[in-house]
Amino acid sequence: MATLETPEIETKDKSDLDSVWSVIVHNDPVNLMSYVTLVFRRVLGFSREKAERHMLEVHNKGRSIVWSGSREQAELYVQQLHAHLLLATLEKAPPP
Amino acid sequence: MTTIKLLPDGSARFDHVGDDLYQILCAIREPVESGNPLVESRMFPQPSEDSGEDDLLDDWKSLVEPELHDAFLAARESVAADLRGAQWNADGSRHFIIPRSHMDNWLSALNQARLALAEIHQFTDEDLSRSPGDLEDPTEFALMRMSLYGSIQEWIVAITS
Repeated sequence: MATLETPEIETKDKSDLDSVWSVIVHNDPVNLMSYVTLVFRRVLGFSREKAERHMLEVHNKGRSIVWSGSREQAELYVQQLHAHLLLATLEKAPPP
Repeated sequence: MTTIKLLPDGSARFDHVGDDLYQILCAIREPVESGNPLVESRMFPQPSEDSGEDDLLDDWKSLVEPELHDAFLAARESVAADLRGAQWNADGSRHFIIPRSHMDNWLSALNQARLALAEIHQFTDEDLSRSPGDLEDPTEFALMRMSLYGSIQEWIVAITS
C-alpha cells in the first residue's frame, strides 16, 4: 500500500502573524505632492485632509506610517503603493 | 499654442500640439525602457528594509515584480496608442484625445518617465527645484522633460481628484 508523504507546508512564523505590521512610505523628491495625496486617497481610502497630512509628514520627516495591522494586509498595501511607484516598505511595529 | 480641454465625457483633447512637444510625449517610454539598472531599482523597490526578510524578498521578486512590470508596460503602451491616434491639423500641428479610461495610464507612464529620468541623470533636490538651462545640454533637456511631464501629471491629478 502506498504511503502518503507528509507535505512540507511553509508557514510564516507565528510571531509574524500575531504581530502588528506597519506600512511606511518614504520620501521621494520626484513624486509630486498632489500625486502622493491622490494615491493615499485611492489606495488607503484616506480623506483629503488625512492624505495631505501623511503626504506632508513624508515630505517633512522623510517617512510616514500610513497603516498598521496584519502582515498580509500590509504586504498588499505595499504592493499597491509600489504599483503607483511610491517607495513603501513594511516593518514590524514595536510592541506596545 | 497647445491647448488642453476637458470634454463633457471626461476625456481630454490636446490640440495645436507642435512637433517638438509631440516628440517629447512620444519619448515618455524611452527612459523607462533604457535598461539602466538604477531605473530598474527605482521601478521595483524592495518591500522591506529588514535583512531578515529573505523569503519576502524572494517572493516579491518572483511574484510581485512581474505583475508590476506588466502593469507599467501596459500603461506605457496605452499612452503610445493614444499618441499614435493623433491627427494632423491644417496648420501642421496635431491633436489627440486621452480617453477618460486612459487617464490613470497617463499618470503612471508620466510618473515612470519622471522617475527614470531622475535616476538616469541623478538629479538632486536642488536640480529639481531650478529651471532648466541650455536645452542643447542633454541633462538640461531631461530636466525640462521632467518639468513638462510633471505639469501634465498635475493637470490629470487635478481633474481626477
